[in-house]
Amino acid sequence: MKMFIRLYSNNTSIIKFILIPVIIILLVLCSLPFYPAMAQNEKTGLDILIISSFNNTVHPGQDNSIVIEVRNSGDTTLTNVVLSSNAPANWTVNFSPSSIESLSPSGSQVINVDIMPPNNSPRGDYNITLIAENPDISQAISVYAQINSTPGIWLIIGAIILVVVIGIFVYVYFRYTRR
Amino acid sequence: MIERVHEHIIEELKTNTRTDTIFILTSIALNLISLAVNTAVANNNSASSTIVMFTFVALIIVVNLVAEIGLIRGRQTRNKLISGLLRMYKDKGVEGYYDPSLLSDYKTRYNLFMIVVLFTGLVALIVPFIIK
Repeated sequence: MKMFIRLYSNNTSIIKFILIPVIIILLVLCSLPFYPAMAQNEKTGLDILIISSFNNTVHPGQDNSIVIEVRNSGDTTLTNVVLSSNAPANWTVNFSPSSIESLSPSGSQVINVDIMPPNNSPRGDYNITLIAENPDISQAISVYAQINSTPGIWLIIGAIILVVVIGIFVYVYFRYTRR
Repeated sequence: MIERVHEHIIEELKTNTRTDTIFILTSIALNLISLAVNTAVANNNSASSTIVMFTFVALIIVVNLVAEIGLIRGRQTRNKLISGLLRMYKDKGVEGYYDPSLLSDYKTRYNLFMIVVLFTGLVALIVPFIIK
């Protein structure tokens, strides 16, 4: 009887300290092959690409068009993808269409983006962020835009004033020096 | 009496120096201030900014013109005063102590001052138009 009790007792510790961890490890190992599949099923992805030729120059007071492509690079269908932007103050950015109802895996949608800086925008470099998002995923792309003033008009005015001023100075110099 | 005249000429030379220094420093300072203001204003396309810019351009032209005329007059005044001094020294037989080439040195120096003033003015004038 004592022998049986000792054996039972030993078996209990074997069950506790060896068998249970082994079972757990085996369960984990067996379930590992399923994880990638599960993960793949839940993979979402969204890409934004500029597909039109855009030389980064925008004109104030005018619509400057860019064509972008929103692509579903995930494995699930994306629904209700809304397009928005983050642009400098008083800039208008319109998307056509402004949202995508459904985007199947590997599917894409071409979007026209009209960027209009205000009339009195000063010359400079600007950054516009185009955002595509739905409740599951959000993707943004940065667009660099440059405003050039009317080419050369101010420079020509400045050059004319400069030449006139130099002329006046030379005239004054020689006139007063002769006296 | 001749000592009084000599003192008077020396005083006139000192006054002339002070006036010319004020002309040079004021015009350079105003040119730099105008450059700073116009550079800041040139980034804005509004009508009021353009008016402010042209006002400062007018200020630059006037100030530099006044400085140039003032410096030319200053140079002529100095020339006359030093010529008088030289004649005085000649009469007293001490002309050997004063080198007449100082007159041409002053002329060069005044021309250099005028160039400095003029160039800061031209820079202050053209830079805002390049930026705008």
